[in-house]
Amino acid sequence: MFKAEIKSETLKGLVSIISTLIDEVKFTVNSDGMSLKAVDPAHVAMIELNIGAKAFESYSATETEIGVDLDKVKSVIKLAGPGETIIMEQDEGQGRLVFKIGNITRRMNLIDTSCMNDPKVPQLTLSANIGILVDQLQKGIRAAESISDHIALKADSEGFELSCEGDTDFASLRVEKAALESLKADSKVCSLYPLEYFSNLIKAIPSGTIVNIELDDDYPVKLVFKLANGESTVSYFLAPRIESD
Amino acid sequence: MLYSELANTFDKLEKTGSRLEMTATFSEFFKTVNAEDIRNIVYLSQGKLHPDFYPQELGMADKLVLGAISSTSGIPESVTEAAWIKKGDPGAVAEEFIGIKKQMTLFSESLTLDRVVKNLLLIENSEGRDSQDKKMKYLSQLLHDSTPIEARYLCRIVTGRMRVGAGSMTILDALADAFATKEDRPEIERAFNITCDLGLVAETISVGGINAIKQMQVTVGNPIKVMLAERLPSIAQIIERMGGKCAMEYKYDGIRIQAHISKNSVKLYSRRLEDLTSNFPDVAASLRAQCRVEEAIIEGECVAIDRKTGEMLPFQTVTHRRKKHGMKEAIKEFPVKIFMFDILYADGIDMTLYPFVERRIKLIETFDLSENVKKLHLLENIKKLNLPEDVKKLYLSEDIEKSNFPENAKESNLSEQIDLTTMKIIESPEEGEAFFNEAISARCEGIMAKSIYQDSVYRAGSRGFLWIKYKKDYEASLTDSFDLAVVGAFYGMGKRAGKYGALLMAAFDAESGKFCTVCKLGTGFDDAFLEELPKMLDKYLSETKPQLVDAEMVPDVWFQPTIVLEVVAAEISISPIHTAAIGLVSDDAGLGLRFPRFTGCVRTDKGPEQCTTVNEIFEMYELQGKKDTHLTEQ
Repeated sequence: MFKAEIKSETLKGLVSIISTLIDEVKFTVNSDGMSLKAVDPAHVAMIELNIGAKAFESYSATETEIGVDLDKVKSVIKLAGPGETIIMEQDEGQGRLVFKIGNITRRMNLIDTSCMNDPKVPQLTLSANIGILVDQLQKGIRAAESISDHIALKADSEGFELSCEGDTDFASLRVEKAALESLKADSKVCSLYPLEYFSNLIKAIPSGTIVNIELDDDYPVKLVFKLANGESTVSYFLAPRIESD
Repeated sequence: MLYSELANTFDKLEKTGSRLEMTATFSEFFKTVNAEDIRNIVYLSQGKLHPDFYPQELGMADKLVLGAISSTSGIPESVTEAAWIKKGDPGAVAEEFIGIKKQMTLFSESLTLDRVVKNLLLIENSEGRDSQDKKMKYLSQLLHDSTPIEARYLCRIVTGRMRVGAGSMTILDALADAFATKEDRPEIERAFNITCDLGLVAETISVGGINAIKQMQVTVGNPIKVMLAERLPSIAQIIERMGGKCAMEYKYDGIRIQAHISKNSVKLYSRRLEDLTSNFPDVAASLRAQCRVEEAIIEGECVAIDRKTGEMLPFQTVTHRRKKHGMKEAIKEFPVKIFMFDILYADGIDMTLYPFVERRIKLIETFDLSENVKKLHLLENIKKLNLPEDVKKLYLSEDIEKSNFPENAKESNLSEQIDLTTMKIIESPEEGEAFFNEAISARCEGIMAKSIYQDSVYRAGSRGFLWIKYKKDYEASLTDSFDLAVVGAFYGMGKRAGKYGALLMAAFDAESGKFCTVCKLGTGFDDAFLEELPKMLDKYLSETKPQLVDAEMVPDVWFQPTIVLEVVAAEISISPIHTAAIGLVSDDAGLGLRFPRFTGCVRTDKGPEQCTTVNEIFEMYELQGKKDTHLTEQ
């Protein structure tokens, strides 16, 4: 059983983060909230999302699994005006999800989740930890675009740097320790990441959000941030690029 | 099953040049795989996901594949493209760069055959605005989990060019070896010839053994390999060879079509199994409308007709119907007619096993035709035949005459588009010559002689003396033209500097599955064609001599045999440098063409394996000898 009411903006924020990676997803539902673990088909990035019951206007559920096509959910969100509430209810008998927005009813078939296995979340111990406002990262990405297809994330005890080096051009954003929310980096660390993945994610994070970056040398990066007024937690893992020469 | 097992088998096959070894490798592999996988394995070995006649193809453009290689490996496209220009094979490029890829993954998962097939299907079915991006994404997903060798074959499969060198005949040999005996090989080949579906044959034999193969039947929807005709240098020799008496038909100058008529639809296939239904929707509709049975497979020749005079027009006109766009206009502008000459299946009956005369009668009975004269004409012909009395009675009883050729068929509703080939029973060379002259004045290419004896069944996919063709060209010069595959090119000099100046041409050796060279072709090209040549050929560049090519002469560049050109020549002679029929006429020399000349015709309707065979050239060489002695005697 699953029935919940959610603000359309909140739902939109969650969906736009997940859909940077994957369109068809499986939510694991229980009385405390919903969670999801998904990896992109190329296995380059992974997302782990926990949405607490408090992220919803109202929430009641027992243990179940819901498989949805996010493209369809996006079209439902478009039907809602600002501030409107969306009611979601699982129609258990027929394997469908029913959305109600004001006087609109929209039903959709659920996706079969029997062959969708949760990926194993990597256990990483990364030496550097940076807290930064997403707006800073967004600025850095804008500077990096069209220079190369990858970016470097660096940290040292003095600050954090995002840079991009192409065949001919270079761009970088340096944020000193004072301008960061937090910084813990004993030594200098640096890794390269595919720009497209990174920028799709960062652009989908609402302005004003604090992103926690865990970083090391030539290692996956882990980004942790909260959504839905702090009631939902996202962990995002991205595999590095390694320049062998 | 892990995809790596398949990729490693391909790698082993590619490393050996010997067909026997290839057969053994495949056979061993077939024995280890599950029955449910063998169908896909066989299709993939041919760079496909479906049988040859399936209209959809993977056919990813090389540039798109390079994009996927770049995005997976993190190596810039400028680098992958440079490697591709050098190697000419996206598979080799993938192998090189996936081995040194920079983009890591969070975890990797070995590729299974199922996952590969699933993504390949997604690539094949991608449509619409962002289909190119999607195709690239689906390929990258697989490449991310590939080893270099796996990547090599993934990128070859998606472009449809496997370069492993294992053709359909090798697969059939391997199937016989793995699941039956050598003696069963003809039955297996027959199963392939009547279905054109290598995967289906493989699955059938791996599940049900040779008995299941023997039970395979002609079915509507599975094209049947066409029966081919031999040739002889004179009408008199043809009639002698046929036993003094034969049927002769006009040989029309058009496109040979095999029509699969089912209850609610019709599919038209070319002789190389392309789906031509959308090119001749008018013919398809008329066939269905006038077919009196629920299901049938027939063969006929589609010929362009002059709108005003109703006369037949030459082959070039009907080719206007082969284009992909503007079909509506083409249908109006270039009307065609189909002249039916054979029936291979009718409502549950496999007609290929019936003799020619019975097939011909069945063909007439199966369609409502506007010219009853044709039928009567046939009845007269039947009376001339030495058919067993009971058969004769069957077709000549008054009852049949009335019921099968009803006078009340509403002639006014019948389209003029469906017709039968003009046919006559011939009993002397004089009669034959007269019929041949009639055919020529009706603007046909020549005649087809067909045996009227009981053993004259439809032999799918084979060439034999049950059918013998005789064309106008045979009279004028030594032979008709050759359709040869381009396997290499030489850079030109002088006016042709910087372009290809001459091409290395090869005939297909059906026995070894290889392409053997017969001439260096440098005449008959106009400037426009020379200009076009690189565009036409460079897609098929090969870094080294392709597996499938047997050559002594070394050109400046090699090509995978793909493009077929029509060539005429003055004579076939023994050649120490060409490899066709080597050993047949002389131990260390083959046959070559003297004074070859390009006719200006690119045979887009023929694939490399449909080009003139080494065997045909050898026979022509022998005929040429006979003709010469014949002349000197006179």
